[in-house]
Amino acid sequence: MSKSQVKFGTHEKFPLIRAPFARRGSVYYVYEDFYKHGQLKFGMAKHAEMISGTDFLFDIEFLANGIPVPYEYYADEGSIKLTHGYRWVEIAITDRQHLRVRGYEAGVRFTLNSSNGNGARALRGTRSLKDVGWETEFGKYGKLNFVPIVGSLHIESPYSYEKGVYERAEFEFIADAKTRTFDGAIHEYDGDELYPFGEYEPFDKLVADNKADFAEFKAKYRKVAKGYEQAADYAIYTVWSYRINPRGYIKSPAIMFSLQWAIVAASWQQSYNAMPMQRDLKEAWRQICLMFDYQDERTGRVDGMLAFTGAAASMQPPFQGFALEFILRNVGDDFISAEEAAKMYPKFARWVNYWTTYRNAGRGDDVTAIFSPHESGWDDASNFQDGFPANDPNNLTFLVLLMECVALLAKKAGDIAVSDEWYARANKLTQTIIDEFWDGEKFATMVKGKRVDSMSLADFQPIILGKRLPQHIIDKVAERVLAPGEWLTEIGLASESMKSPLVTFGISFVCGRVVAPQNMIIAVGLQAAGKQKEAEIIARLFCDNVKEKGMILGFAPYDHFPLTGEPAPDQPMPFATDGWPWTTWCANGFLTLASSVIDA
Amino acid sequence: MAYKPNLAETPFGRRDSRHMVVDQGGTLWLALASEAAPSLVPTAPRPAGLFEINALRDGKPLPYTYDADDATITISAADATIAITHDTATNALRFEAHNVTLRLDGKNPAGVSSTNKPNGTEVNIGGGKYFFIAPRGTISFDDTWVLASFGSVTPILDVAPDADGKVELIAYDLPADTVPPPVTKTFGECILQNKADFAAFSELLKDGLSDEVRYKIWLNSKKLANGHWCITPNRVISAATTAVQQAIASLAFKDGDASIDVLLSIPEASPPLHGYVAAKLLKSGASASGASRLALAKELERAKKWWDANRWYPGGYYYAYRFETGFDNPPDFRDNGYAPDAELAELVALHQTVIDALIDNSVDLSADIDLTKFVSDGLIAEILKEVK
Repeated sequence: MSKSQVKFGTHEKFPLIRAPFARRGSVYYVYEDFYKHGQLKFGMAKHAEMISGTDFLFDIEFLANGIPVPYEYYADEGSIKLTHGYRWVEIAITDRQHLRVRGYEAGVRFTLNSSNGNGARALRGTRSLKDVGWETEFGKYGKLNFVPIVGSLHIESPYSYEKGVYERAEFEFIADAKTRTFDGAIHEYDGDELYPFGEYEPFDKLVADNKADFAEFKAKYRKVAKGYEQAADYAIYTVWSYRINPRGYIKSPAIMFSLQWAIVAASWQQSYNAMPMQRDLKEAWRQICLMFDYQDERTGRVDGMLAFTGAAASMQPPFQGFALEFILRNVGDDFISAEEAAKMYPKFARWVNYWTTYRNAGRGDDVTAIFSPHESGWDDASNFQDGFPANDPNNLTFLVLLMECVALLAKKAGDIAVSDEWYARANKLTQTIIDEFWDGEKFATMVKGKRVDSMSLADFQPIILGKRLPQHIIDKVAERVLAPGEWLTEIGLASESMKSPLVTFGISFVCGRVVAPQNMIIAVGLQAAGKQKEAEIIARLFCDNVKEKGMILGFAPYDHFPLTGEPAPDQPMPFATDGWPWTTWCANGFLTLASSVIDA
Repeated sequence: MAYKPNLAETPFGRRDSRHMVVDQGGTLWLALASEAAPSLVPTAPRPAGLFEINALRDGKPLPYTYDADDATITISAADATIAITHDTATNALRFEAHNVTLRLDGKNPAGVSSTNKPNGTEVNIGGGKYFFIAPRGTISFDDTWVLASFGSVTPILDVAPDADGKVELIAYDLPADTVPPPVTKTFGECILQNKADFAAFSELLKDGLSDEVRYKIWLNSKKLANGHWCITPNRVISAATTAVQQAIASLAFKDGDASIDVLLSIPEASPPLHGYVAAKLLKSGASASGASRLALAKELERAKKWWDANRWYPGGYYYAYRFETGFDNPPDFRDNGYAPDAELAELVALHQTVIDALIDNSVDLSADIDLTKFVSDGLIAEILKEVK
């Protein structure tokens, strides 16, 4: 059996409290209860309910002679093993809508235990399907089928006619008396038939296949800088295990924000995920283009978030140009064929024109006015404190890069005249950003013609224009973001200057916390502008912290507010903006920094 | 034939429009029927009423009374009036006020994001999105963004009268990025159109239904993405509905095409009532087009095949799960029982009976299923009480 690339466990650096055990192509996950340490839980991302508020969650109980006993666990990319002395239980997840579970001198019980305090209410019935297994019905959560392959299955699901609910729902795999082992499967499905899964392969082969699948996925990424290899494995594991197969509304493999919390495939995050995949450019390109399968035919708008049941009514920034430009800068454009270019540039163009049409500021040019911070991606950034409509230079910057991508693709497709037009548009907008939005210290958002007096890190994001910017601007941005006592902290760049009275580490995203995407964007921008040393400082600070703390979206840099000295209020854990579960948004940011900025 | 709904119990509205006006505690509220949509994180539920409707004089709300029928609401306050009606062509609710400032007060900022735009005011509130334009009068609206709350301040829209004392406000319900269509009908023309639509719709319904049930069926009619009309059980709380509800709701129609359209709006689930309901329709002598009859036959065939493949056991048809019986807690049901159910067998058999009858246009219906046991309250239960 090949060596483990990632390790989670009772005695490992990272338990499964914030990172789930999961697998590419499956909606299943296993994690350790945040409040009851030592208790593993089993859930499913398919229904898109957070683990803090769902009726579909199971306690995993380890049984020795039928009695629940405490256990320890160890997990890698192949399987998770629970142990109690010499007894063990092992779970391996497949990409064919089922998991396998086996054990020696032990049993395992999956007990339905709602996180809403509703016990077994999600269960709506059980029945034997004779040769197939036990089908269990969970209403909106779909069905599970428990199949004993070796050993037997025992179900306890007493129904209270008085209350009209199941009082308990316990599904127990029991070892065969002779071999003292058991082996079973749990299938998930919605209709009348199991997903065609082939045959039950030998368990060890499944584990080996999972490891091989992970290794194959890992090969999509560049090597990271020395000292970050182990963290990179965790980051890649996060992305790999959150990558779901097409299902419901989602038509092609997509990478979820989270499996347990924000169970959506966020539009701009698909492009974030593409950026470090520089050893599989076909996949990187697919990731960047993925959201265009859902492009609105009438307007050209690209949905902000995909859930299994549909698109969430939202919009996210036009990030595709930034991601593609970064990849092109690193590896060139040979991987995009003329046919692909011809196919995609009209779609990219419609996406640009969506913004310059439906968010046009009414000046007769391509300057836009956005209507909510969600359209910028920075939900509570202080550059929006004066409200909306807002002329946001970050939106314009993304549009410049997207325009240039349209131009490049049009050129590859042989449409030179079209290409030239788009380059001209991009150049003109770049000049507008420089002339009108740079105030000498930062790029200021404008509301009703007035500059917003902000101390947000977002004010420096147009650095991603790189050497398109005059050197004095580049120098000033580099100087300001690294000035002590403002955005620079020991763990990376804070999203709001520590000198700002608006800083908060509470229920907040980008008004003080150190967050992955902003650190990545600013560092990549500085690198593009020729400020490699500065980029690397930021990258190392951020990545060093993530190495220790895990793939967490945002971190409070201090336990107090530097401006006033007051202690920052304790936040009850878990906490949404801390990225209670690990997120791919931190993982992909880390991978980009560690593979393409540090030691570049 | 004006019907006057009790707005404390039944909203003012019309079919296939999300706009509603409801009476909450004696004052009128603007509301939008909710549509389920995925979101990043769960949002807190809001009450049905989204904006309290007020008539202001010198900044102070005037007490008012109102009169509502199926096409319009007239609010009277001192010497002022506010009238409301639907403009179907533009998917808008229209207001006309005289001698008073019209105020729509959102009361609660949770989950609101608002923006004053060059051509109007957009308010995203509790899962609904309004776009307000005032062709007469002046809108005042504070759309201040509150960073820490990820939203705007409480939305309060005031429309002050023009020099002639007039206010006209259009409240659009529009998809994103849609230019508000100009209104082309007068207020009076809209009222007449709504009345005519209710009257025409009423003609499709069985004689003997009360005006109240007729209005509610019309109000709750919604066109689905598949092109079929369905009758939602409750317009205010939820737009969700089930196949069983549609089967029963289809009994309200004397027009065969309208009845089949509703019946087929949601694929048959369990219990399989489509055959029984369709048999009653045929027996009533209602005529239906060839296309309707073919669609009905196809659905019944599909459904019967499903029951034969998935719920037949030597001994008969069975329900696998409690909820399939149509009841949450049937006292005789046992898990894994595979118990043959005689009434279920009768219902499934009726599928073939109706398919055959559609060919020769005659049906022998001896079955008499008590449908009241499948619905306990709401509009669908009311329909069942009144249909003969």
